[in-house]
Amino acid sequence: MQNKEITTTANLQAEETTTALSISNFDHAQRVAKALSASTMIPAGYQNNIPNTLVALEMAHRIGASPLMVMQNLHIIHGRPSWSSSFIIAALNSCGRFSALNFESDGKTCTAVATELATGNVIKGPTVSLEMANAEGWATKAGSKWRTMPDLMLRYRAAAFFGRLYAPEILMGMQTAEEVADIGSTDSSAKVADLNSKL
Amino acid sequence: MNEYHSDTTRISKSGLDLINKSPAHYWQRYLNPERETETQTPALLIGSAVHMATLEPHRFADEFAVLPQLDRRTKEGKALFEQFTAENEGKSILTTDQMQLVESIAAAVHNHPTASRLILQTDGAAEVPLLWTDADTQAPCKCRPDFVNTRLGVLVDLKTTDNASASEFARSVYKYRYHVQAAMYTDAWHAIHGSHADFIFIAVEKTAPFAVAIYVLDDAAINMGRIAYKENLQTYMAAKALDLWAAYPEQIQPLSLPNYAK
Repeated sequence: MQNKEITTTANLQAEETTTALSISNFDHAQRVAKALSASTMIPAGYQNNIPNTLVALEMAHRIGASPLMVMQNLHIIHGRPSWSSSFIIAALNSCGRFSALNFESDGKTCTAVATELATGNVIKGPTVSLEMANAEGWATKAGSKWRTMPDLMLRYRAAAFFGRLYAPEILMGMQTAEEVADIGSTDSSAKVADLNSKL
Repeated sequence: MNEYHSDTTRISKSGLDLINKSPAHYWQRYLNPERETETQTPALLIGSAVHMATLEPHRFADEFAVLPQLDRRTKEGKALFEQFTAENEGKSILTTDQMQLVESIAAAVHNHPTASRLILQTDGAAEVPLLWTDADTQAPCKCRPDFVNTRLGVLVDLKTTDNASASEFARSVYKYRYHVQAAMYTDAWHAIHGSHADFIFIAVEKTAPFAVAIYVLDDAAINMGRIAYKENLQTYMAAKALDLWAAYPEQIQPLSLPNYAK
């Protein structure tokens, strides 16, 4: 049974190499999502949640990643899907266009740097600084990781900025989980929906 | 209850509201050794009675008593009044009209399908004191949410208002700095418990039909509230360190009409 599910997922990816899920393969994808969502090995947010699993399948299809990898790295923060920063770095490192991402940091600023393999050019992302984190209000939020682990947050944000500038197709227009947590949501509809669903 | 209020080593949101006006106003209210004891206005009395009748109805009879209608000009009336005051020493006294209003407001909240679930006694507790130190300013702080619903993970605040519609209540939020309260209380919960708790307002009108509305502020409002209370805490800590509780600037200041008048 398990082998059959994996084969089905693989087929789904192989068959659909163009765009998003279409009406013709929606039923197929839904069956796959139903099977996957019944697994206890996937993250809790997807277990018995066919709609979320379906979205993860679609995302995986778009970027050519495995659905499980997407599920493990796609977080819903403030009601919005967002990538984990470590996933962005891994995706940039393995996309084949750049060397592994490096970081130039002095503890207060950080710039993500990589070599473009096709041209040999060294390219740098926008520099992120602690001053920026304070000015943008990222560091003043309750429980902000900028206060407790600034070095890691500098690198994560520098990687996100690099990816957004040089490989936007990997981020698919989405922010990282850390960015969403920092910036928050100006639309409280997701928060309200979540609260109402608990009542 | 009195212990919480009398602790002036920690600052509350009410204290920060005074700091926001000026440190001198805070000092006068909380620190001046010759300060007068706060007199309870009818509005404050009804407010505290509404809170207790709504959130802690089992304690209401211990704290409040309703003065029956009697003619104190007569000998019999005087005797009944003396008997009433002797029997209810230490309690806050409500008139029958005030009690009727309190009951109407409490009933409106208890009969509201969502509000009643938010303050379900089995899901949490009322008037839970939270004591913490603000990580940015090292200011010792205190707050006491009206109701902590631990099942839902939310802090609930009951507000009586003239108009609970979204547009008017938003004005009240800004005017009375409820967004500052929401930010401070949620940060307090996070500092103590390490988890996020949304801050929910139950707004109930003070006149019939005692309409109820429930609101949660968006992140933009919370962030504005957070910036405001952190600034107030900085002012408080600076005043405390210097023991300098200044009022307004002594120099001449420029003055313009407010934006809405332009």
